[in-house]
Amino acid sequence: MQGAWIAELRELLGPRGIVEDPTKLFPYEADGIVLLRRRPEIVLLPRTTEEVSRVLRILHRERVPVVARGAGTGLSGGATPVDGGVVLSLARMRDVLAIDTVDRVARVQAGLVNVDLSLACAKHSLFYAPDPSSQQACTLGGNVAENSGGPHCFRYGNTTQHVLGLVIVLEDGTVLDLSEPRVDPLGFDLIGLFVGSEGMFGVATELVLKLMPKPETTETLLAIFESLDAACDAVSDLIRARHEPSAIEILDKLTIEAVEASVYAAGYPRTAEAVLLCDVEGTRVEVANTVAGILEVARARGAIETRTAKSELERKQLWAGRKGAFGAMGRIAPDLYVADVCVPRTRLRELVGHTTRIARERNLKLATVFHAGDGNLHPNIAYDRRDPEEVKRVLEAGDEIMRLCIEYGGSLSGEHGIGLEKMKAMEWLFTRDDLATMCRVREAWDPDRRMNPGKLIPMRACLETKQALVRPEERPHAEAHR
Amino acid sequence: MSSALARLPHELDARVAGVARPHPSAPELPLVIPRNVDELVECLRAATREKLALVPCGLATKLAWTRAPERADCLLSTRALDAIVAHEPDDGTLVAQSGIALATLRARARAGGHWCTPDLPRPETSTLGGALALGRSGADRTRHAPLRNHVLGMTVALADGTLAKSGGRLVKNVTGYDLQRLYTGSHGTLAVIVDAALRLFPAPESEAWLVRDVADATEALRVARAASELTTRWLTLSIERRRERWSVLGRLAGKAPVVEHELALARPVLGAPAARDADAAKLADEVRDASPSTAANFARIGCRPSRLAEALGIVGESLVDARIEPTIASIEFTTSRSTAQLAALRPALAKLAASLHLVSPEAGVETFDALGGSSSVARADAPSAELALMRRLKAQLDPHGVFACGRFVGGL
Repeated sequence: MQGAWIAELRELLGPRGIVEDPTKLFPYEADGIVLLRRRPEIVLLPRTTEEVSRVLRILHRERVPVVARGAGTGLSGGATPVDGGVVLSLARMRDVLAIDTVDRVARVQAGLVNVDLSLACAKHSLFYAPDPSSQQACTLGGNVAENSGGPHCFRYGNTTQHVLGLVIVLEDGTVLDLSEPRVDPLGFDLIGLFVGSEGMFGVATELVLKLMPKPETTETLLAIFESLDAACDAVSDLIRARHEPSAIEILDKLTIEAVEASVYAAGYPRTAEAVLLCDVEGTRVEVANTVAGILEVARARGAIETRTAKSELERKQLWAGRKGAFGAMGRIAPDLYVADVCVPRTRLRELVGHTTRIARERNLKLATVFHAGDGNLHPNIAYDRRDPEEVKRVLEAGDEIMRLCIEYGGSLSGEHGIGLEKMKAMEWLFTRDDLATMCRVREAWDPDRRMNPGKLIPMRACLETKQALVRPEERPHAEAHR
Repeated sequence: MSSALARLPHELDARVAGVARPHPSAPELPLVIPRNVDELVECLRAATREKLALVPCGLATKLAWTRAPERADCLLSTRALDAIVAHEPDDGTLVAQSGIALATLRARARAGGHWCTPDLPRPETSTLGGALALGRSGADRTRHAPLRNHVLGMTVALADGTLAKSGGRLVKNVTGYDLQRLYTGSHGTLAVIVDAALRLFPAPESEAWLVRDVADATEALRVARAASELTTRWLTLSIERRRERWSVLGRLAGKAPVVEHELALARPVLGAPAARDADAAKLADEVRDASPSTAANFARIGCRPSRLAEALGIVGESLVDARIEPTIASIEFTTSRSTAQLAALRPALAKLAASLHLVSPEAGVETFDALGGSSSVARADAPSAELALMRRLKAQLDPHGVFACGRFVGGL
């Protein structure tokens, strides 16, 4: 990229704040979806909200598209660069700004790694609840953009339920300070709307997040099943019986084998067809009551063995296996297509059965691990991206799984977002009017659609909306557009 | 009947079922009640075509909670849209049309073994759509968090009659923008809520109330704080001031052994239970319906928990009856003070970053705080970028101002 504005950015950010050397741009070509690659022309790494604001002012003036990026661990192509645009990395904005132990809130920069927040507040017996599997690497700003989840979101909810305040820089550099936590929004719920907007509304630079008190007791249970169907049925029964653990996860046989052969080995029995992993938190009596209920359900559904972790070390091992599952699958094939779909929790068994059939029909290796308690499935297909024919079959399988989910009353994503990967499928789930309404809302934040353009909403819906809308100068609030 | 009735196009005129005021200080207008979604869409298309201004409502019981509209031709009620669209007890979700009464919704959820939030006063005369439009959480927020967290999806009718949905019926879902968060709490200024999907919670097997009378606000705060540290499982925890008496009330609910254990934990601070199970449910109804928000004039303050005592100190002499939720950090109260006297407290509250919302029908336009909502009470520190963005959102979704402008913050 050339131009006086590049020089302006160099001067503003200094040598460590801009990456232009083509040999150093490779890591920014893709996020966790390596099939979707595009080399950025430059990467900007500001340190403060003020720098982000000044950068965006320059890019606004020059009409340059912007793709914000955290750690690049996303799994929907949300951080894939766009032609003629820049990547704005928040990776150098990783400070914990304040921890308020009385109000139980933390103020952090958006580039802070998820797990680092819980580590920072552990000495106060507090923790940050959303725990994506990539929490050792993913940033909290990325979590906000994708409304990320994690195993313990069964009890605590996705990221949106934990964001109390934000500082957002809009596309023209305007700083929108919504950082003071409020009991209820004063006006429209801009924070709730922003979370999960996949970088298309602006750049969150500072986050005010809710911290939770550490529970008095935590028990981790493992139930071992001879069939994946039985494990799924056990989860549906747990929901039906109104049991409330903190996390309900299932790992299938191929996942177990991969985990046990890796550094994440957790002691899952290799002969099992599926394991059900639950965390139960609360007071001693509450935990004992819930654990008894879960064990009863698991046994009724034919669990051949049930265990509770005897020590904190064993508990951590069991969860390390679950959280390391995606990484462990590297042993099966060089690449992994991580699907992320949701269905009502009464339809788990059916959908899992169909995903197995879909993979078998296409001669693909399927390893399923999922947040069963939330109905959030991750059918993972192992493949080799160097084999174009196999890639084609993988993508076909992904599409068929998404169509099935929609048929079952489900949706396209539980925690990874839509990004580039599932954009076309939005038209399978939503009507043109639904999508056009999303476009209208997006244009209130970003009239020129320069923030992460070409993601989430199919372009056709946006263009049609643009034509249908009355001209800005004719609108009652025309001054707001100037 | 108002003379405005004659001006309504036939799609709206055919559905006029009486008159109502869009605000206590405003004159009566025709009340239009479409019988189904198709009629609602027809009404909106006609309103857009004829450049009319509508005030969406449910049973029209909370219209004093915003300011009077700058212009309005009729009220548009969703009260006839009162069907349960889907109920999946085994999945813990329920979809209902916006006109359904909260009492009906709660009974249906209860029959499936669930608890439905929000637990608002007078649920027989409150609709789901009204609660969502107000963004009104109930007393159960202490445990279940605000209502907006549990709205899984929504269908709305935009000003031009377009039906648009967002979210879904799933307990976990990040597909598309969370537009239901935008509509929740927007006071009907962006769209008419047609239906909504809610997450349900397990109905308690057992419940108990603990009540401790205390000397004053200081002791109440100390006791409530101690109670909140004993267990995080309070369904409700509040400080009540009624007829100049202060008390701390806690409600425990859940599985029987867990409630027993928590009762034992709470006993040193709040004493023996005042009511159990059936009696507790009855007391719950009484406490809920005694909320200051059921009065014609009331005020609400929100702040950080650490600033609650200071906020209470600022308004202390203004309180008549009050409900204070210590973990939420809200103070809801009735007062003998005038709106102007209460408005004078704003600078002191602003130093605490606390918000003050006044509902005072007599005062007409002085009912909404923050962001420069009323020119006479505009906050000097109003974050203009925030308000400008809200105006752009309004302009995108309701470009012709069909949903009566001027009722919400900043004249939205």
